[in-house]
Amino acid sequence: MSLSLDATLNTAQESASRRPIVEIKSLPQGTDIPLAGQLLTDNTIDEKHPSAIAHSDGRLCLGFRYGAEAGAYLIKYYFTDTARNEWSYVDINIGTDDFSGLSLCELTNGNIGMVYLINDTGNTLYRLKYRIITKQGVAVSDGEIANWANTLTTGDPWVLTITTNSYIVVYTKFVAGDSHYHFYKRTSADFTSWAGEAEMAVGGLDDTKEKRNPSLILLASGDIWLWFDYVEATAGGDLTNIYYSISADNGGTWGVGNVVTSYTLKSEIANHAVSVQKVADEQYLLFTRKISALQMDDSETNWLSGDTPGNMCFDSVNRKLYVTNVYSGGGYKKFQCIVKIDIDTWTVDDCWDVSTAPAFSSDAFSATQHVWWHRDKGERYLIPIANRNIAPCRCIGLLNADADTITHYYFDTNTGWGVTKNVTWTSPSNNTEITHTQIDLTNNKLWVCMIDNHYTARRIFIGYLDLTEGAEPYTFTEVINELNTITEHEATGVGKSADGYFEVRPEDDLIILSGGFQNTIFDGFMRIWTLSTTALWKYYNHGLFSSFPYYGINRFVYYGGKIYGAMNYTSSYSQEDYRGIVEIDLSNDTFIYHRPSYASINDYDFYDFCLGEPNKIICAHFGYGIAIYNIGNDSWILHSNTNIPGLTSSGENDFWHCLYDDVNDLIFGGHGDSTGSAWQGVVMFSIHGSMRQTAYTVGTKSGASWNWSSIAALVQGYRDYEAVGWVDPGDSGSMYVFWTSENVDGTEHSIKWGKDGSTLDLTPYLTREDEISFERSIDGTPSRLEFTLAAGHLFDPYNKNSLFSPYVKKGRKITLRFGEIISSSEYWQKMGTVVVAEARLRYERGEYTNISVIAEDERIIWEKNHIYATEYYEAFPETIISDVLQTWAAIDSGDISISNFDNRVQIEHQWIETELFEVINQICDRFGYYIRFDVDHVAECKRIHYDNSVDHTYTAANKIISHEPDDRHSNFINKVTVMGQERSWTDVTFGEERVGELHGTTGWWGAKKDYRVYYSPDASRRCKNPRLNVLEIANSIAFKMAGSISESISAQDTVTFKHCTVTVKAPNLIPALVGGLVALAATYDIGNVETGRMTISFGRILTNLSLSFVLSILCSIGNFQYEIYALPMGKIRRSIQASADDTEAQAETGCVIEKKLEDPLCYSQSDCAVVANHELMVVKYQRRRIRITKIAHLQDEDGDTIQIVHPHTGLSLKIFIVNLIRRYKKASGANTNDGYFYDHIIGWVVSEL
Amino acid sequence: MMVLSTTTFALDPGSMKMLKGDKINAHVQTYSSVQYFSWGTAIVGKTIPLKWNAMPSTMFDALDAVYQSDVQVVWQPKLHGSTVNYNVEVLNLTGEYWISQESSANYNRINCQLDLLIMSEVT
Repeated sequence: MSLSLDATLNTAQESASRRPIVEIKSLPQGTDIPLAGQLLTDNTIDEKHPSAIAHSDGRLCLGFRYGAEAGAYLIKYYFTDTARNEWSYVDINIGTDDFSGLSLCELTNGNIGMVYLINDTGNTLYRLKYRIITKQGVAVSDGEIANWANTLTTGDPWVLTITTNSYIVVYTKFVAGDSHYHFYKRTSADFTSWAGEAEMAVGGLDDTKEKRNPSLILLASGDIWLWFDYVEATAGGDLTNIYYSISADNGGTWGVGNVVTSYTLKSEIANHAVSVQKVADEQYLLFTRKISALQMDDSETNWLSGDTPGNMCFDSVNRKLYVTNVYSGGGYKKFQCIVKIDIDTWTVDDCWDVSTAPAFSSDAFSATQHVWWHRDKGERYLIPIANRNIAPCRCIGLLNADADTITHYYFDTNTGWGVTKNVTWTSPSNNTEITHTQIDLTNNKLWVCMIDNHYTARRIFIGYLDLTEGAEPYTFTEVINELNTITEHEATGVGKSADGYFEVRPEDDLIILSGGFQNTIFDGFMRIWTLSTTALWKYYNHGLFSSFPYYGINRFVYYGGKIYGAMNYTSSYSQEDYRGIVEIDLSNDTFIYHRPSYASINDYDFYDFCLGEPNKIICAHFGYGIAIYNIGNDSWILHSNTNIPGLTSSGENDFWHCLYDDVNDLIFGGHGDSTGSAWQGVVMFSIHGSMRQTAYTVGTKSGASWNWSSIAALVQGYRDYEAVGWVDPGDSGSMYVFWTSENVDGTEHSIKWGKDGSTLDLTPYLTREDEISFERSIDGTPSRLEFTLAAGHLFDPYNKNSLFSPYVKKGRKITLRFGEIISSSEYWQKMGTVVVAEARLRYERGEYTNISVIAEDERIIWEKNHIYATEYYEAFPETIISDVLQTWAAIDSGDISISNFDNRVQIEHQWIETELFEVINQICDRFGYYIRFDVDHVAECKRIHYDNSVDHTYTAANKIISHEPDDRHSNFINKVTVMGQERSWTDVTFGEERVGELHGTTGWWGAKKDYRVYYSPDASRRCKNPRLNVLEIANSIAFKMAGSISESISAQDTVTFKHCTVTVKAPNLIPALVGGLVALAATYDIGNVETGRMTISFGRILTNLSLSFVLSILCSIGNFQYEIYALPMGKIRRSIQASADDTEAQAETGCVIEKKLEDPLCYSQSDCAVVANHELMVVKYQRRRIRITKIAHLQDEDGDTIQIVHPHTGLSLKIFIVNLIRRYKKASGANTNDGYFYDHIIGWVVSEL
Repeated sequence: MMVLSTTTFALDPGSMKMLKGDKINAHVQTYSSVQYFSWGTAIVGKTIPLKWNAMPSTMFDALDAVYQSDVQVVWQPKLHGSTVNYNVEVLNLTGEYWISQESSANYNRINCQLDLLIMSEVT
């Protein structure tokens, strides 16, 4: 559907006299708040405590503390020009004493007044100072207002201009006489001479409690508001909230203190409040949230029921924390839910359980199935969880949180659940249990450890599922398969009710498995294999190494060639001195024990380990907190409610889990079990102490009262605090904000600034020498906007002195509108939204610096947007495109509007390891469409076809500037063949091959025996027509005499074709043996025969003969060995194809020039024919290309069909627009005649009417 | 007399370009017609040369001081009683010595020209 213009604007497009206008704006991606901010300087010297005002002449004035540098502290005074384009600054040296509380105001004569508090340590005094400078930083005067002992706790001062030649300074101070904290003020009419200190009585507060950080604002109503933080409680850490008091008489008297924030826990408090007023009866209250620890449980919005952390996983790339919750009380250790937490906003992004969409199996993960904890290790967004029961319940659910899919791997067919085994692996024992799983994202593997602890057959199976396998059946590849290499006790130590641990480390070429126990008498072990060879490298247990912990290793972490493990204490086996954690040096098999210094106990219940900073191991110590072991100096630090007030809401220190964010030095802790702990949930805290973040709330006056909105983050990050703000003098809806930002370990502080309402109209900066061009095409390339701005130095992203530096940074959003001035009114039409892809400028002496900007729509991002695997789709193309865009491009459904495709059919496909761009294009190409963003930035698909209806008709050639048939980019292809594959499978057999073998032994006992022979070791291969090949057979004299051994294939599996039955039949020689034995016995009674000449030993002869007979039978034992050959069966998808011929072109050229394409989305010949016809149409119309330059008409777009008049014949031509570049250039002068507003069109002549 | 920054001219220029906005426009011949584009009138960005046949060196020096200061200044043309003033940049100041009159206090600079770029109208 073509663009619909405003009627007046549309009419103006036809006019011979046009007054075109353009608008280009720079917008933030998403919302301004929370502000990302940018550094004011690159200085490494501390910059803190900003104070800012806007001068009445329009410039911004900013001061902050700087130092110490070379032993001196400075005020850095920054100021802009009146248009607020660029910063300049001056340094004001304060001296060697540190200072705080810098506060600025504008004096009546336009100068800048400053007050600050110097801590004169040499004289043990606080000195309240004033300083006057010009608005451009030239010193005028300075002096001391007052001083007092620096032993008296003093709150930083704040200065305010009340009215002409009237200034007030407020501060708080502890008064030794009454041990009270009071507000004080001093006033001045000239900023140099100050009245004496006067107490400001603020009612409703307890004078024995401290007040801090006062700030003042003069509202439009004339009221002065005093903001401050009030220390409500001090035991176990300060609890502060934000309060205010109002003066309606220019600070003469003050109302009672009113509270705005309502923090009740010491884990999160508020301080440093500053107010900004944009419009009357509204205030933005900016304040610092000081957070010792963030907590969350299932009372949080979007967190489903269940909050006992069972496993945790941190995605450091996307900054998401995944918590798998598992009930840990008596009875079933059942699955609760997996919750995805955004750690920057500390909110729940998503949550999955057995009832969500997608859902985990409500059978496999029901309340009567065990899953347990510490056994399923996810990586980034792939989170596994396994059922820990034995057959037929063995299965793994794998959440892909990015793709929002859950895959179930069933190791058993479970008729009760109605599921069929979909993993190609057969356990030799139903007693085998899935003990551990682990994701290896780098190698796309889901590792699985399985144990059978049966006393007669202790088995270890370790292998993996290939995550690139997109569809069932899933192949389980065995890596380790051991039988009876460990004891029953050791095997039991890996199982669900014990405390073993498992880790595959591809980067170190290791597989590590441990068995351990808490509170049992069983002994434990550790086995380590080399991953690449699967050879056993280490086997530790107490019997082999007496220093190895008797009860084994419960949890461990690998670091620097060593294992650091937790174990259970025992006073027996000469291990009475082994406490804490064990360090196992794998290079020399030595064992060293490290006992925490913070507690003197025997059993240190370390439930989890993770690596922290280099040389540091973080340990979850149940009942104590989170401990950090420093390997380098063998020291311990414990974080608990003792040193972090409010670490947990219950005050308990029952940590089960720990993870570490090495970018921001944050620790995530999983807290509580289901029975013993009062509180379960997760916490986040910094290893460097409290996190501080600037938050805000908006107050709105309603009648006589003020209502405050819910509190939200004003800035991003948790080390950005003490913000001040001022309304933009050029835009009352916008405010500049400045704050202190510290690095992760709090050792360096910088000033950052940001702007709420950072949309900037770039139009005034567009150069007249350069055109603005906006190109759209049907070939799938992103729309492209090019323009050039004057004052390039201001837009230089690296010009920190410029307040405009963020506006054309890469990724910044740009909107374009064209319009007309009609009867002095502006009429606009949106053209589109793009993002800055390139911005280039050059500094050269004597040359004016412009900045050239290229911005493209967000399809430019799709080219590099890699998709690991989509879900398996069986849906119409529009549905798939919409889902892919929402899932992988994060486009809201409201920004997608795709009409049903012509010739739509259902697609059955899953894309793996593909770019987003490819997925979309493949679908669009299949149906002859292309995707674009419309003028409102809504994703839509347009049909590429010659018979689309005409969108716009030009009845004359009066808008045509040039008309140029141009087939340069065409070729001679006159036949297109498209190949696809059917969706259904066809059974086929392949050449005969050896598919199995049978070995055995038979003997004189004879009998007939049937042997089932599978065609592959995993019993999955399907074959037909088996035959037997005899390699070896027992064939003694006795067997020959009795009829010999026979063998045959007696039966074939004609249902699943996976096995046959080989029958081996041997003659039964037992009767003959019995007869022989009887005869032998009888011969003993036969004596010799005397013939007179000789004595014949007749009896002995008969005995020997009988004995030979018996022995011959008894020796009739031997092996047989057969091979089974068969025809393997398989399934293939038939290839299909269809062609489209341009017979006219074939006749003209006298030959067939064919182009062959493969389209995986074609499932039938008719599908192929549709695509072939479409591709042939494109080929044909590429030979009918035309280039037109015409006066711009804002209705025309790419993919439109327009009808124009041939300039020579006057006949109409129907043109399909494949590429449109709209070029706009404002004339540079009155007589330069170098302005224009054109459409350059490349199109196909789709019909000649 | 005109004022540039804080300098009041001893002599108004002998000639200068008209102080009026230029109409920014363009036109193009189409295949069967003509198309006209207009972007309205604007004085911002226009260069105004002020010319004197001769002036005293004191005046030239005063103008040169403004020129050398390299800051945007306010120009008060005060033509025909107009109170419209402009923020201007001084682009150039040229002139020649009148050598024979060098010792004279009057009119010892000739063929002087001051080029002003109009940045905006003072509101």
